[in-house]
Amino acid sequence: MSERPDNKSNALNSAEDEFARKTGRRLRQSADELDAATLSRLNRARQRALDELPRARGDGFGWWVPAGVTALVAAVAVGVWQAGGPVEGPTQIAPMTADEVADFDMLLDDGELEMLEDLEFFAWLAQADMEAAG
Amino acid sequence: MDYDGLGSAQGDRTLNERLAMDRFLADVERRAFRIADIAVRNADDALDIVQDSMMRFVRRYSAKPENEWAPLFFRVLRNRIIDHQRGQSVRGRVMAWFSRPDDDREDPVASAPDPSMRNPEQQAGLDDAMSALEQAVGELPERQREAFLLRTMEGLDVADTATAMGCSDGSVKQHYYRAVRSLRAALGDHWS
Repeated sequence: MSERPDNKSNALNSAEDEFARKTGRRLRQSADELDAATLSRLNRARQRALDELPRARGDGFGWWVPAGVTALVAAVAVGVWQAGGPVEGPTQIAPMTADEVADFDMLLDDGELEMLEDLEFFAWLAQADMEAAG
Repeated sequence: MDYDGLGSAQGDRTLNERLAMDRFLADVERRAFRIADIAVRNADDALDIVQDSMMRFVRRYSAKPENEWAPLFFRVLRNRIIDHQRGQSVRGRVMAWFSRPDDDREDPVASAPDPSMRNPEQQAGLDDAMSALEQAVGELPERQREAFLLRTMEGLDVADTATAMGCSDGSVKQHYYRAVRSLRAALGDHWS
């Protein structure tokens, strides 16, 4: 039986509410007590991110070109991977599951180009697994 | 036409945008780090995740109104944490495939120092209750952990938490409720 996601039973009692407040306060406190080295690295990370602002606000083309190339490479790679050889007649592509969509999204994300380069290897790995299993 | 005035106005706008973004990132970066650290249990990986999230957030969402930044930033952070965990999982599977049952060599992954281990000074700084809380939160199911940390630690309301998690308000309430009940049951001795 599935539960309704939004109903009265999801309301916390006062003790639970107090527990949540107390733990949240302690977690925020732990964030305020980070060591100097971590704070310094966070500061450097922030400055690097701020340096992206002119690119983000100005020339959008500069961002779309690599993204477009990534998408194109991903589409070709996934097509080759799934076909596994010459296509005979029209093929029915099964709808992707939610996990597959999320995986695909991850592959398209910039920064995951190494994964794209490894696609052929993973395809070979899957093939080898199937052969080993008979 | 007053070109100097135009240039100055543009310069002011750019500076103001940078200051606003700096204020926002400075405000969220520590809690973002703690959220990532609790999720991946590795401080270096957590820092990389936060840095990457900041850059992606600036590139993609800096033009959005400031009042929308918090849920969007935590959505980016959440996606980066999930990407990291999936990447770790794939790497783990590949490493497992390469290891042979009759291989006597020492497994470099198994013998490597546990990245979640803290040095003595760091460990001393954490009291028992905090350690227990951190561990219990880290062991929650992914969606419960996200709902709990975004609601209690970041202080996002239900609607903003739903935006950050990419789900409905009702799901947020349910995950949050279950998280609080699980944690209270697990940590009663420390936090009652």
